[in-house]
Amino acid sequence: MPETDIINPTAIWDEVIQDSMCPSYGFTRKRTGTQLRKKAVGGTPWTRETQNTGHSFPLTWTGRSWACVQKIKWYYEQYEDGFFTLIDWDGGGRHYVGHFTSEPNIVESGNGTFDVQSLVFEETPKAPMVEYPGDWDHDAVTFYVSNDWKDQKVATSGTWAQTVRNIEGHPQKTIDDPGTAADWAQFEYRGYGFKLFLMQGPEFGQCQVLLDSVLVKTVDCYAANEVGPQMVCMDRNVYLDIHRVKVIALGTKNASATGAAISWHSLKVMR
Amino acid sequence: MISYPASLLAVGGARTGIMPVNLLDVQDINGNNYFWADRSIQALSGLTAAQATYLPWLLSVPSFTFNRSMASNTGNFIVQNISGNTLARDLETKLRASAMEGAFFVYRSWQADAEAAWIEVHGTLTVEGVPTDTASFKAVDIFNPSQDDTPLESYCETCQLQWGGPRCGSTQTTECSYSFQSCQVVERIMVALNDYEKNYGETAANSPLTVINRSRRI
Repeated sequence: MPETDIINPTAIWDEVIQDSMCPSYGFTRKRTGTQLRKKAVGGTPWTRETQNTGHSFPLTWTGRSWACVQKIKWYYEQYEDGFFTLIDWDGGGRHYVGHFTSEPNIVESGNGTFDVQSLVFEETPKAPMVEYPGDWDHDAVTFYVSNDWKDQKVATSGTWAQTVRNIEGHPQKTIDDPGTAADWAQFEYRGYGFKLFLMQGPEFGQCQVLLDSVLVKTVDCYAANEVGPQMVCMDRNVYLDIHRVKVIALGTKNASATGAAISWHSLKVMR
Repeated sequence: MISYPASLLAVGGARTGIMPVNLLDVQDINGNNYFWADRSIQALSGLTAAQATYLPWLLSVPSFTFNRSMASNTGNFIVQNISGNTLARDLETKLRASAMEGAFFVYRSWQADAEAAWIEVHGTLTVEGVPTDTASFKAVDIFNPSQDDTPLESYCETCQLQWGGPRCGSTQTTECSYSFQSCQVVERIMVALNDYEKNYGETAANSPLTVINRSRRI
């Protein structure tokens, strides 16, 4: 379980190496390009996600002890073709799994102090994590039934139809199924975990939620009153990759429900 | 015209999205199935129609040119030949266990969210080469006339159809002589129609073609 090997498990001074393993302040969090983008001269851009890669960090350690830079070198060697965990303590403590893309260039910058400049830590997709990202307010993005160009983004099979509903005073689109058993809707995304929002109310029934063809949860969308879009299913512990969230209508309903309809509102995805 | 499922039509033309995944199903001559893709995914198999786990082995797929003629459609699939153990690579064990020569393949450009294929190609594989870290399979579609060394029928004066068979359609009790003269279902006869010299006692065909001298009677 290489993900349990954390290069900087704490942000505090380490007595053993007489230093801190955290990189120097001011590093940036970048994301490598994942999209193929085409645009006609007078048209709108067309994009397709082609990669499942994540973030990368150009890191610097300045004025460090010999033991500290030796440990950086060891992490490069040990995980050259594997991965370990880096914690972004300055950025809220989020975990990243990945490896250094090149050998650290250790330069003696003073009496017993050493610098490592511009060493890139690159996130590895499909790698398990000790702690999966969970800052849903800042790092997650929301995908609706349609994209900003009003193209439908939820793939469906069966009698699904788009409906415009008044949600919290704003017209918003949902895609609805009357509750025909085996009808399905599916969304494909690049990222980590997800939160699925379906409409809940007296007329809604039961469905299954699958992630990458594996059942996550059976959901009952019944509520005594119309309560709008609600998070009915969440899976945080999902590694970085291209994933599919699928909803399969069961055609069944709560005894108190008036119908078995399913209504997809949105999907929140961790990036 | 190709008819696409509604799930594909709805999202396939969207301006944003995830690119389709390339799926290659291979069935070798021993009946072993292999499922390879350019990213690991669970999808319906083109061979078995059941859910299959595709391994991310596929490095490149060909751009097929569909000739729409007698010419065969060909292309090359490149798969990785690195994984394995210290004794044998995964692909080597598969090649050793069974011949890939003539293995049946189904290639699909698969829109994963719609669970449908944009393009589907069926054919057979030939091992083109196994360099150090990849393996190249030449793909040829199923309709490949150059592989036919015994043509089913030849065009001549003797009818090629089996008497009384479905293509002949005769319901009479006596077998014909496989000639135009003796044909019982003349609208289905499969011969080269010619006119014959009067000397030989012909049944004149309704095709006034060039008169040909025949030294034998059929």
